[in-house]
Amino acid sequence: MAIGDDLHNLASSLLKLMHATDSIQEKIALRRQLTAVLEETERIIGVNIDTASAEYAAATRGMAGASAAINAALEDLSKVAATIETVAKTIDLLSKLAAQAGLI
Amino acid sequence: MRVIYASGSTQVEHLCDLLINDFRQTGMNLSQQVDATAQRLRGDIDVALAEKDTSFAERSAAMQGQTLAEQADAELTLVNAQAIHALKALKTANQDLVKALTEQQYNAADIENLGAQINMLATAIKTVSAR
Repeated sequence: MAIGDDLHNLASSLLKLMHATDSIQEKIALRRQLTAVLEETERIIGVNIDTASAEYAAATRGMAGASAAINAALEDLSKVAATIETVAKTIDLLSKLAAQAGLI
Repeated sequence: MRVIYASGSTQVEHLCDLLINDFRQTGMNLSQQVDATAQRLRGDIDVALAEKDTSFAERSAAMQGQTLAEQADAELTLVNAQAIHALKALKTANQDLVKALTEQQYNAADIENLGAQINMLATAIKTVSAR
């Protein structure tokens, strides 16, 4: 799957989880993470990405893990807090990828 | 004409691919940026409606925003589908034109077919440029 699909799916999944949780704190945290994912997406748009790089592999692995965590949280909302931690780590990986892509 | 089009057709093909990518919501270009704006709006609306101290006026504005986000999403999906369909038609017309020129087999049916393809090409350009 292309990284554009992964990023789009991650942002869409975050929105679904926002709608699903009743906790305002979790909604706000997820909204911040949605902003971060969309900002990293904008940084990655239009630049050449080295798909063979370690950063790319880590980011795509991170997004797969984050999507799985979000899906699990959608089934069991007690997992939202842990999912926010997982997504935060993924955003760090996306940030590293965006920084690396900008150097090419 | 054969020489000019033989070199130009590759660029037309490449341009079509770039434009198709622009109109894909996951294509890391134009549509994805529009989609991102709608996602931000939806996120803000969700928080605004969940906050207990959000006023009636703010809730009303959020609901209007929700409607606008849904309309924008529906329109974007439709425009993307139309544009991608038109660009694929443009690619086919381009390939057929190259084939007709290189094979030098011009009979009445070919010319008629080419005319139909050019009409399709014109429709495709109108569809894309109108957006």
